[in-house]
Amino acid sequence: MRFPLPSVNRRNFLSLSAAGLLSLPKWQPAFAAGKKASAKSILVIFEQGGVSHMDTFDPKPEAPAEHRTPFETINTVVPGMRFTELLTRTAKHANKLSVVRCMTQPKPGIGNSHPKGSQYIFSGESPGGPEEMPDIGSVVSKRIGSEARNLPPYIMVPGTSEQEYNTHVGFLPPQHRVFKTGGKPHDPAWSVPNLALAGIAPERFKDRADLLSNLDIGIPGADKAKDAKTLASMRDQAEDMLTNPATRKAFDLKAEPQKIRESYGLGHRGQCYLLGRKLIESGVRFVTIDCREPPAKEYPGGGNMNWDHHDHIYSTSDTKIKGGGAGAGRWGIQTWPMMGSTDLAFSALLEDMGQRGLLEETLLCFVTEFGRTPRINDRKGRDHWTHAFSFAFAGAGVPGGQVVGETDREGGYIVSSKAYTIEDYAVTLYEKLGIDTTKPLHTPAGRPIYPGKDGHAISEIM
Amino acid sequence: MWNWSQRVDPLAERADHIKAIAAFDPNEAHSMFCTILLAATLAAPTDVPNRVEVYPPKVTLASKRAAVQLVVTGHFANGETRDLTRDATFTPSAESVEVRGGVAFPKKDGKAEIAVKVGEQTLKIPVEVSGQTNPDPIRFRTETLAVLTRHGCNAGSCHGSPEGKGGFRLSLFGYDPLIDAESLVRGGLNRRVDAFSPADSLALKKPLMRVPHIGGKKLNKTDLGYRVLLDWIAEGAKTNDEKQAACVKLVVYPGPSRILRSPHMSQQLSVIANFADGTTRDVTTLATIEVSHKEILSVSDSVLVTGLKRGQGAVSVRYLNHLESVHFTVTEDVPGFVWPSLPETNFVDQHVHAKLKQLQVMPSGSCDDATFLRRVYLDLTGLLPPGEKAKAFLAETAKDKRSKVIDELLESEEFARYWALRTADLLRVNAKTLPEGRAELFAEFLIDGYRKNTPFDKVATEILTASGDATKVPAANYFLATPVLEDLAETTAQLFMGSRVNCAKCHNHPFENWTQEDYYSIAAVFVRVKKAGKVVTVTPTGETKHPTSGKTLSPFGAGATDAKADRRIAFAAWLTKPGNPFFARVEVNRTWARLFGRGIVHPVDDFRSSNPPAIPDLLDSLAVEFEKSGFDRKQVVRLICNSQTYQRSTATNKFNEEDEALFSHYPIRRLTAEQMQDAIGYTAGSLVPPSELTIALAKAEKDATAAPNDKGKQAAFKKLRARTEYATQRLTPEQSPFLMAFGQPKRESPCACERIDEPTVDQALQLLNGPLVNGRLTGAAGEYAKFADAELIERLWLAAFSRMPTEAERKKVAEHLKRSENRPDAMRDLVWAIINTREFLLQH
Repeated sequence: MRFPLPSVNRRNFLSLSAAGLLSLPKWQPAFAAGKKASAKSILVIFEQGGVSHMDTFDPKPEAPAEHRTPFETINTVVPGMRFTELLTRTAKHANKLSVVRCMTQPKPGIGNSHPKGSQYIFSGESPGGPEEMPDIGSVVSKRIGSEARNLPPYIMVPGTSEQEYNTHVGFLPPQHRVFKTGGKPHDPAWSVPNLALAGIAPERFKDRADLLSNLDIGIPGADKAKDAKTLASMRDQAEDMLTNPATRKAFDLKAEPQKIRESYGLGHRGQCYLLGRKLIESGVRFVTIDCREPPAKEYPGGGNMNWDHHDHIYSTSDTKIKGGGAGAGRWGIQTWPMMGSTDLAFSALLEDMGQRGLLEETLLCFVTEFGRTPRINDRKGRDHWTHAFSFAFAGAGVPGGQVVGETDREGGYIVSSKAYTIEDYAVTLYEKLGIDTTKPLHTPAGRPIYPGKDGHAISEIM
Repeated sequence: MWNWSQRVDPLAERADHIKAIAAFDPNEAHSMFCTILLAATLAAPTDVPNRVEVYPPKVTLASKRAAVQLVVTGHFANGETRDLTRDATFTPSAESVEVRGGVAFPKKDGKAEIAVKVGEQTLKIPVEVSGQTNPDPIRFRTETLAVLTRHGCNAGSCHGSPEGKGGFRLSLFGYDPLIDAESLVRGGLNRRVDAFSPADSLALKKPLMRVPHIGGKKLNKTDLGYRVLLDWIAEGAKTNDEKQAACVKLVVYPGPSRILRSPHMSQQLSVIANFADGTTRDVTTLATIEVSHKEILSVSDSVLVTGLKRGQGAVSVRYLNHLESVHFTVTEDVPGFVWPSLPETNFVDQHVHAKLKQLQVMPSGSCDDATFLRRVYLDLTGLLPPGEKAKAFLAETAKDKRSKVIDELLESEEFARYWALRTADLLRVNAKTLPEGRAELFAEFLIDGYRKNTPFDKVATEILTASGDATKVPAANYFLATPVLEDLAETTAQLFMGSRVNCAKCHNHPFENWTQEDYYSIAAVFVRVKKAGKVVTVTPTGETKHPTSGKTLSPFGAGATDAKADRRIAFAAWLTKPGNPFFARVEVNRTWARLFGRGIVHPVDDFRSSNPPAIPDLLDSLAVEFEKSGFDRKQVVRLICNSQTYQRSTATNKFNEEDEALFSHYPIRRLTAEQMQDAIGYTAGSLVPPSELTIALAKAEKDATAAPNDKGKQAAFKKLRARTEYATQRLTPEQSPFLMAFGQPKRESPCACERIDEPTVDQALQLLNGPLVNGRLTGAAGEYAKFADAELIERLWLAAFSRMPTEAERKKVAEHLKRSENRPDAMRDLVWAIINTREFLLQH
């Protein structure tokens, strides 16, 4: 068939009919090479387990009473933008946030387990393709490296919880593998392994290095050979990492004023978020926080406090119930080790980064692998829900006080015309950093791989 | 069907061309010509060819759309050939044909001749034009799809990706015409093709960027591709040409290789498709052309190849499922370059020198004895030479001392173990995949193959045809380590045929002739292998089918005569038969790569016509020698290690400093993970050299036999025997953080690329500050405590570098030791510094 008006081309014909004159198309290709970066670094808060969106960023006061969140819907500082009361502190920073309520997994099932769902978030690609995809952070490391030579370009804090095996460097060389701090940053005895001199004083290390440069006479042809040159430059960089006071400083939480430390919360989560901020400030390109409150005697029954609330989601203590299933080991969503510490730490992070001007060039993302069922199950819990969930973004030119997308009355399905996938999230990150997604990476076997090929940036926050 | 004979003997292919060429031979030509030729020769002796030929020898233009590229070649007295297409004038004898830019186009039916004139020489080419009044609609499968490939529409990053792009999906490089027909004609609400107003079809407006197209501008109205797509749509976008004869062969002229010598740097190509019905068609401008080295070669839309600088590269021509490559060598005179007379130990040097001379690259001189000894020990055993051995070797005066060391090492247990380790890397020999001691059993089998120097055809056959209980039949673990049929097909092809066929599982291979049919034909060899627990058996039935056509496929290589026979036996026999295009070449290339860090074909498991060997004659001769020796693996190592090429210095000169692929100097590379760990252990004094190990082992055995109930003595003997302390000698890998940082493979794939060779920051952190190094240093102080300065330094230098320290070094170290108040710490610092020098960390 032919369109009736020859002067109207196809694309703007469609736009006119769909959205009126305001959305006339751009004529440039969407991923034009050399697009300007708006972010220098990225800080991802990955709250693992599947945070219930109805109880946090996407309140549903109109949902049927038996399935409704028990928490009140509250106003934020932005008129019309509402959260639940579990985000009371974060609500004060809503003017910095774009909340995307129309996140979805396009192929339900693929990322509907925690290992696969976490891998999906880390790599930005649905797992199970012909090649194992590297993490977004590893791709970023490969494509643009880091500005802080003394620190790894992609760090995870602490990155050693349940899903630690779901980070991948894939086909990329090992230097792009995520560096995991491990341990419990809130513990006064904590230090980062491998980045501190092991058992020798800095002065002696310097003497050793002097002796080495004295004895390292090289070999014929070393100035031309690639391996010899790389080796020397890697050694210089490693020496810098080990001896540069800035490296230690980047991880030194004790150097932070007590007031700041307290503002984040002195527990595990608060100090992990704070460490995230410190690393960004020290010039690390890509930081992911993947933390949960570790088991502690003040949280009996809390053996694995992620967001996987299959049972008794609104318990005021642990979630173990008679006849329950996989949901035991958490605490109720409103308790301190769960949303209490999260709301405090996230609001403190927004406040602190805002004050330090770090949001100018850092994209801050609050993400989870999926949402939870809009209906409460017979064990008083909510199960996995990949159809709709919420992410929040701030910084690097993301408009504040914005809600993107909409779900239905119960929070089950997306009703807005827009929906965004985890692939779209990945492309958003790449494009914020100015990475050209039309350029391929190559596997050692020569196969071209296009990270982000199945996504489009979330236009409302670009 | 994939035609391997084309690869076996590219020369035969060329012979076909040559036979078909209408040659201008001055001896047979008219005497007047001879006179002219003579005069011309006198005037400009180097610029007049003594023979001219035109390809194709006969032009057939059987359709209105036909066009034939003419290629004119001059043969010169000095043996050079040169493309003269652009220097020639073409004059048709009748109006039925015209020639524009070296391409013949039809005008009307009839016969004619084209007079091709170069200088004073003229050659006449017969032309037959027919079918000019007959309709000849565009063919979907052989033209439309070729255009979509040529313009990149169905590439993997665009609409050829599994999900397509922007809702429009095509099959990758058109491997599945049904998907493409559906998608183009019916998909997109029928807007992609518009038969009433063809130019308004979305399939044209998008690539022309008349409407926004994320992929950008991909087509111009002046392109042949535009004409093809427009006409195809105007003729009704017919896709029902499945009955038309399919392309069975692609002929690229000139082939298979060509030399471009400055200043004559260009070569016109002609591409002719042969169809199943015997017809041929010039598809020069329909085919898709790619070059392997863009800094060396460029290619224009009209398929004129131009050499840009000295070097080698391949031009690959893809048309539908066919791919052919032409290998180009670009040479130019380098000012000041004079080839000297050089010693040659064996044919290895002859072939390398011939290539270096051709490309005007000057080889480096020989390395010194210390460097040679350290090099050959590391390459053959994975270990540093013992200090005493180094000292004795340096003092020895026998002329053949290098050969003697090579022979000695080839017979050592360490050689067998270290070389088997590198083979086991590719066979997934790890305890996770093969538990209950089967990894060790399989590893021991591989070691034994090297130890006894079992002919490699026998080793391969034993692996590929193994059946039975894998706890008793070591080689049967091959099938248990690769449990999935497709994986087995891919692994076998990669290991023994050096080919990465895995792309062909889902679509035809993008850079090679491997098709889905080949892939599932290889799978057909193994489809009857069944595994029950740890037992491998073969059933008499079972077939594979082509995933799209559903055709039952016969096993790859050679079919068995008995339909119920174990297909693996026929396959192994075909594979290991002398003359097989893959088997010997792949193995000698792997051997070469282990000794130079780089294959003659590189990467080692990526044999394909679009990735030519750096020195083809060298690879062929090594393969022939390997076959003639009865697949004697040690003999190949011996030949290479004795060559001047292996014994070159790492120092470069101004005529070879750019060379990275032709082996004109010994390539510097980082020690492998296992070499590194053992070298540190030995230098720090915590690992005894294997020569002492033999004595220690004999003692431990004696102790253990004498005290059968002493658990400590039994364990000590077992540990020594299994050499668990040595990363290069163990049966199965340790996979420590140190080794993993240095790129030790996980043994999860058959790809040699799983081992990472590049230096990284992680590795530097391990060396400067890691727990393994720190642990070794702690022991070092004790080991060296008993020596006075002079002896200490000599021992350290001989252990770490296989050489004596220089006077300057002695002085520096003495000063360092004198300065320190704590001698053990000073010694640790010294060992730390030594193992962090480039001389220590690099194979050189």
